[in-house]
Parts: sequence; C-alpha cells; structure tokens
Amino acid sequence: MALFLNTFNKYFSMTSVYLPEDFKKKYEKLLDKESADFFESCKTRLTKSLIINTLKTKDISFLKNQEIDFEKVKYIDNAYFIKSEVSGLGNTIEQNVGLFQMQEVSSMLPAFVLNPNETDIVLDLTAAPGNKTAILAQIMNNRGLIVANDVDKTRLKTLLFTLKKQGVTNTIVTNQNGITFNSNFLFDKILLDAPCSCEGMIRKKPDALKEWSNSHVQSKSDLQKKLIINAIRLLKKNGILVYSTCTLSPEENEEVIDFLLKKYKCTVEEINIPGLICDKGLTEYNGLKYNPEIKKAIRIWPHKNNIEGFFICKIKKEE
Amino acid sequence: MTKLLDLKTKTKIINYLNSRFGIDKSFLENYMYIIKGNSVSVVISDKKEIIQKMINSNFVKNIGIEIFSNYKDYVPSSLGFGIFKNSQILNNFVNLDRTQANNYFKGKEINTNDIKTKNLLSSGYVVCIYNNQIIGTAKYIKEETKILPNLSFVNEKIK
Repeated sequence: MALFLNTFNKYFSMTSVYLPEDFKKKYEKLLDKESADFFESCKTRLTKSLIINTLKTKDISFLKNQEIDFEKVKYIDNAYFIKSEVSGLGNTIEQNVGLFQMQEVSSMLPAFVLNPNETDIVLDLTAAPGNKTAILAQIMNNRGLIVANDVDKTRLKTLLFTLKKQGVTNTIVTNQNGITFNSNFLFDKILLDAPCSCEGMIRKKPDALKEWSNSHVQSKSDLQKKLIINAIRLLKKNGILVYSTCTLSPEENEEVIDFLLKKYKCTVEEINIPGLICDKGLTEYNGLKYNPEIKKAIRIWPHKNNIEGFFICKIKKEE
Repeated sequence: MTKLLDLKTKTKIINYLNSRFGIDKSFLENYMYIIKGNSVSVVISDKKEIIQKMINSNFVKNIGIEIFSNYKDYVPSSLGFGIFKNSQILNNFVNLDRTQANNYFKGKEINTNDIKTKNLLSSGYVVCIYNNQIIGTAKYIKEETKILPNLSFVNEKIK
C-alpha cells in the first residue's frame, strides 16, 4: 500500500513540461552535473504558498480552521507552504477580504530584500499584479509612500484590485512605461522586478518556455538594461535598488547588473536570507567576465530549495 | 478630475464616519482625502507634499483606497472599509457567523433577527464583521429587519 501511495504521489506531483533543446544545452553547460537535478525539478509541481497580510491580521487561526496541511516558510515571516489543500483556499471569506495572498515564495523575497522603512518614498517600477507592492506596504506598516507603476493598462486593474483588497493606503498607482518613467522627485528605494523570459516559472506554468529562444532571452535582456538605467536615474544618492527576475539566464541577470555598473557608480550589497540555499551571482559566463561585485547577488535554483527559480541583486547608488 | 477634497466636505465626511460608526476622529485625520467624480479615497498623509505634486499628473491612475463610491449619498466601498479595524466600529455593525458571511458574499439578504450580535441604530449603511474582521458593508432596512450586501466588492471583482 505504501509503495502504491508513493508511486501515486510521485506520478501526480510530476507535470509534463516543455523544455526546448537550446534551453537544455544552455543549462547543461552552466550547471554541468547539477543540470539533471535542475531538469528533474522543472518537472515537479510547485508547492503552493501564501503570505499573511499583516496590515489586517497576525492571527493565523483561520488557517488552522481550514482543512489544510501547512508548514511555515523558515526564511520569510508570515509565509506558509500549503502542503495538501483539501478545500480550495482561493474562494474563502478570508481570501475575499485579503487576510492573505496566494503567492510563490521566491517572488515574496525581493520586497523583503529591499526592506523599506516607514518614512521611505518607494517606487515599484513594474508593479502589476501588485503582490510585491502589497508586501512592501506591509513592511512599511502602510506609512511613507509607494508609487506603484505599470505600463500595461489591463494588468493595472489587477494591481488596483490587489491593493484595495489588501487594505493598502500608502500607494499611488501610475501608468507609465518603465523605460521612460519620469518624476519630479527622487526615490529612497526602488524595486525593479523586471519582465523576463520566466524560466523560473516552469513548475507553475508547464508551458512557460513555449516562447523561449536565445533571441527571446536577448530581447528581454535589452529591455531590462533600459529599465535598470532608468531606475537608477530615479534613485536618490545612497538609495537602494533591488533588481529581480523569475528567470535564470545570466543574460537577463548578471549581464544587466554588469551593464549598469559600467555606466553608474554603484555598489552591490550582500543579501543574507538565513535558511535559504542561494548560489552567488556569476562573475563569468560564456567567455564574458562580469564585475566581481556581482557575486553578492543571489541565484535561487528550484532544485536546491523546492521553490521557483529567481535572481535578486541589491544595489546602492553611490552618486 | 482628481483633486484634494475641500476642508468643508472633508469635515462633513469625518463627522459622518464618526457619528454613524463611532470611528475616532483623530484616526480619520491621519489621511488625505482625494475626490474623483463622486468617489472619495483616502491616502496616508505622511508624504503630503509629494502627493500634492503628483495629484494632477496624467499618469496617476489611483491614489490610496476608495472609501466612498458616492460620497454625496454616503455609499461606502466595501473593500475600502477594510482599512478600519473591527474595534474601531462602535455603532451600526453586525457580527455574522460563517454561513451568514458566505451568504453575504453571494449577495443574499440577511434577516437581522437571525444575527446574534449586532448594534443597529438606524436604517442606512452598516459594517459587516466576521471573526473580528470587517468583510464589507450592507444596507440596513429597519422596517424590513434585513440587511442587503453592498455588492460593490463583487462588482469590483468582475470588472
């Protein structure tokens, strides 16, 4: 019986994913022996997770009353893995009134790395659908000010609804292109969770790599370079920029940071998340050498943490 | 056009929230009040100057959170009232059980005689609470002993 259950669980936790040949080649080269583990993890369904909205409650008793098996995420306060969900959490009263939000664990991290305080003026340059903005508001206790921007008018509706439901009262929502976003004041902190090729999302969306190609990655990289240059321009001296993507391609991560460091005087700050297994940012890839500071960035591999793949870099503007 | 609410109307709104629901005036004074059409939103006033700078920008799509979809008739936004804690609501509220709360989200009217804990002073909008959380607002009709869920929440979801 136990053997049957193990086989059953393994079968139903596996998903049929599409991994393009060039993608496989790329990560075989980058990860060498680890690549098999990485590809295997891509086929495993992602464990759902949620974060409690501390603007509304700190009490998790409502979770205990649901018929679900949950486990605390060790490295994020108020975040939980949903191990086995019997009745849907997505349509409960608690979800309707914003006591929590379903969100992938990796994508919660950039807001905590930015860690704004209650007096900061913060820009979330590519904010939709708003889950990261809502966490920023929680960290700031709904004080200070967040400008939550997105270029996409359709996604803006989702952003607005998320902020309303979560009870966020310190936010102005704007609709500008992130590349040309302009402001008559500078920001203390900026979050740039850049649009990317979404390689890290494959466990959530098995067809995430349908559009993937080397040229697609390069086009995202070009866009990200334009976004990061504008973001740094909007930052105060000594201000902090957190750059993140849900992708693992060095072209969209280290290469973008290297591009910035060549143009602006910035330093990269260490990121310390106790309990999370992170690789350092690459300083060399495909024959190219990147600024050694970039090793302070973190790469989150799905096969090492059983969460979505992610890249996060914390940058301080020197002048 | 989005603009700061004039002092007279702001005071009127604060007085209404205080007299109808018992919300403390000093808490309500922490916010800036923004008007767009008939809708009134609140935003925390920590960065007043910046907000004033941005208010007329074409790029600004929303400021803070809407608390009245129609301030002239004091029609509250169910989601917006989520910024208050249940302990701040002293008058005109109902404490729903789980079945009643589920019915609320389905838009079903609820007979006030079936509600165990309530404080209903007069007909008009009331705050609905479930498990110590504000889940929305409803229209109370005293003569008919019923509350009708304020469905703006559901409509917002559908938009």
